[in-house]
Amino acid sequence: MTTPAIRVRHLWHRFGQFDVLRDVSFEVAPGEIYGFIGPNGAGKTTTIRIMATLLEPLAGRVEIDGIDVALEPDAVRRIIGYMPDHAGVYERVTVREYLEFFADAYRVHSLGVVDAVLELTDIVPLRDRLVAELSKGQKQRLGLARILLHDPKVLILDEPASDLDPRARIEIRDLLLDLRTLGKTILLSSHILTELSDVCTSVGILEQGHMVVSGPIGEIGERLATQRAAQASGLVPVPGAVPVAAPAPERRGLKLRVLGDPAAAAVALQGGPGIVDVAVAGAAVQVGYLGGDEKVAQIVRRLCECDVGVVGVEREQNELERIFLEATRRPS
Amino acid sequence: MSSQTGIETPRAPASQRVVDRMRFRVGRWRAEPNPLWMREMRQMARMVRTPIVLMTLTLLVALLMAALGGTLSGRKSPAAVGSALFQVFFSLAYFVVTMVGPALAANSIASEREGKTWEAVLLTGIRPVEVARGKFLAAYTAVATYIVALAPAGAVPFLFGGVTPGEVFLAFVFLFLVALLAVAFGLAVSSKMQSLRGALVVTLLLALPLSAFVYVALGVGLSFPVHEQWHQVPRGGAVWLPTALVRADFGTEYVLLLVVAPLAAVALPAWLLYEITAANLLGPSDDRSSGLKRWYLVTSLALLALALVPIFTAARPRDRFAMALVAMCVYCLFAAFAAFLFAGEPLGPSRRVSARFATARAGPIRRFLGPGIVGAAALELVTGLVTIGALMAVAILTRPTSSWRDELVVYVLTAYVAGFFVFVVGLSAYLRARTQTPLVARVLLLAVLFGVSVVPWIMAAMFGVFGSGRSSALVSACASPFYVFYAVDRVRDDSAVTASLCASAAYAVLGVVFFARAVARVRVAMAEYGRYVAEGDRRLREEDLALATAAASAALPPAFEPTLEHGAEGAGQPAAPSEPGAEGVAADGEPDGEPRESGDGPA
Repeated sequence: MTTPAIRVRHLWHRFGQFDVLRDVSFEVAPGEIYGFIGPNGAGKTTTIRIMATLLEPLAGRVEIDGIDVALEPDAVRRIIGYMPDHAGVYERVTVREYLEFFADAYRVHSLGVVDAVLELTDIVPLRDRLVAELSKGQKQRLGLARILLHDPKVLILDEPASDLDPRARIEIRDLLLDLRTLGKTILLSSHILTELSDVCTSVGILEQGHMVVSGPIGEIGERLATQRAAQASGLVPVPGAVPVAAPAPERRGLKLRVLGDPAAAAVALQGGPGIVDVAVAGAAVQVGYLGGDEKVAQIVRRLCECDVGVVGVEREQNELERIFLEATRRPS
Repeated sequence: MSSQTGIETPRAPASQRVVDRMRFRVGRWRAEPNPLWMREMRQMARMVRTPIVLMTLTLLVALLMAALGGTLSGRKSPAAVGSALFQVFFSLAYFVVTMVGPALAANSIASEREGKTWEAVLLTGIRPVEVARGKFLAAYTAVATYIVALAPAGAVPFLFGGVTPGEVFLAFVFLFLVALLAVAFGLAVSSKMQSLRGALVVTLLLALPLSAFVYVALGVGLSFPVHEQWHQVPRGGAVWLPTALVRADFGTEYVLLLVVAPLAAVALPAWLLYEITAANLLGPSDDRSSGLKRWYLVTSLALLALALVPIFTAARPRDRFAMALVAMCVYCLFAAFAAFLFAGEPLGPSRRVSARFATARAGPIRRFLGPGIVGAAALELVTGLVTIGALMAVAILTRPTSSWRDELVVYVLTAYVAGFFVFVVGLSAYLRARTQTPLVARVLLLAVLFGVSVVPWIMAAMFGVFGSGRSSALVSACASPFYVFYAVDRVRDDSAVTASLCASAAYAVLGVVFFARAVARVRVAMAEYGRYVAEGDRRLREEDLALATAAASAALPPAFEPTLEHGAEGAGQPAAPSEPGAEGVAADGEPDGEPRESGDGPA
């Protein structure tokens, strides 16, 4: 059995008389990009700060690569890279000097590391500019470069794309995907769900200090669907408890823009193999289906066979939003 | 190899010879200097205002010196003018250093916290003491630049005579030592503050009266007894030490009073400030106590040794006796300061510290010097009572006559100092054991000490107005620690002596009671904390066992599955933890509430 890259068990924390974390447990497997979702004040940053050894938990245990963060913070610091929300930078040094300082502080005994990290994060052209002259997105990339200097196994990023323009967000997203291919485990906190759904392999939703749900996005979606169905048939009397169900085929969504009457297209698809639901939304048709890209190709072929001109095919992007809303829905 | 210097680090010393090892150390220091120091230097080099400020200051001081020299030279001899300019220049330089040094140092750590770069530095794994050293070196380099910039103006007294090059050189050496203390002071304040503005204001508010007090008391004030000892040293000049070092006759007294004592007066406070800074930079669950306790232990012994020097070097027997009594009072002040210092101790070692002690197989002495209010109070009591006893013995030995009055003076003073000392230590331990944060404990302790010092005199005044006699009214002030001076003065007055001894005994009993209550409270809290940690560990162990059992059942043939699954279900459902703060105590021994506040340390 592989050791989880991050293992949080029965974590409690309190500020004053207020419990910010209540029995939070989750695991992140090596090589995953884990999205940590929750509204403001849910306890995301507190959990992250505990993982980063900056806070000691009141109770529970947090292990990074099998090392207890409370007992061996120094060992944990060597294998994590933590980028806080709105991290500060030294303004009166150049980008290169900034990274050289942190390379020395991390005791990285290799002159090539700074160049490698500059290249990886694509800030080579900025290396001789003062940090004060960088844009927010560039500073964020510099922050990422900083936490990569000591080649950590686990990256913990608190709202890395907040306050960034669309271009900078896309650049950060691509960078995270690159880092994943290098074998890094990434825990990413954000409340911009579309941003997470693009990169995350699994998510955890935290609300009011409780971990509401955690796991791969598809699996959570299925679990919630099972729960929804069970609730509808009166089998699950207690709302909020997410049952552990056997993995089921994942429902995916598709938005088709067609020429002519969308209702005709909907009729052509209705009841087809693997088609879960079909609905007309304005000039488009929304299709729920089971399967992968082959099924998408089949759907398009089916419409072509029925003489329906397909203008555009878009995947339904709000899967995570739907999960979030459903998982955090309060019983009326 | 350092990325900042680009210099290859020497791998090992060429041989085991001292010279080679020293060369290796220097080479390593050159190749890998403190990274924070390097970065701060680079940042400082880009500041435009620094050279302008330096040039303006040098120009102003040079103009002042020239104007003063020109004005005085018409009325006084050149030697007198040179001597006066020497005093003026180094007094000015002293105030520049004691104001600029703390201000620059206050800027360092607080600005990291305010600029949100502090955590990034901390997470590199760099040790807090290295951070403190880097920050110290950066601020010290900046202050040294100020001193060097002022140096040409310091040469003006040479034009007039009256001072030797040795005196000027030594004065500059002491200026660098004062700068060391000033920077360490600013750094200690900065390490506690979260905002840059707050750090600057607090530092300057404290530095101004402190530097003025040191200038007047240790400068002007001490010049008089030094003149009594060595008549070559002029009276009233604050910058007397370089003159004394050059002109005084060499001997044991010279070494002890002019070399060892001033060095100790710089080294011991500098060590304390270093330990405070390091403690403030550590996390609340780390061991912030051991360094401070080591400092206290060494300083207690050093103070005792330093107290003995003037006692045995004073010329007249009456002076020796007086010195012994003064030493006892000074030690009492030091003990009160230590009580405030240790009022910030946690109740006991955190889980992290306990684990480290266990890993390092720490012995009983190391554990005793580790975090814990009971250990701190016990350490204070043992060292304090031993030192007070030793000073009493010295006072008895040095009494000028064998009359019972002198002996009684010693006993009355020692009894009060010892009794009140036990009370202060016991009370501070009790308050820390009962309160949530060190700040509350310290404020309460200060309030109680202020109350017991002042209120009895107010009561005595009221009794004096409304009562029958002055003497009986003053007896009611015996609860104030200042009453002991009255009792010592009126040693023939039985009522005063009796009241003083009764107050001493009462304070000692109260102190013991407070200490016992603190011990009981800490024992209960630490036992609860231990139970709480053990319960948490037990739950996690059970969960691990359940997971292992479930994994094993998955690997076994189907016939075994039902039994194993059943077992796994039972063990795999850990009871929901009770409210952690409601019953348990936090890792640093806090009974409840906010156990991990940043200010929850000993310093």
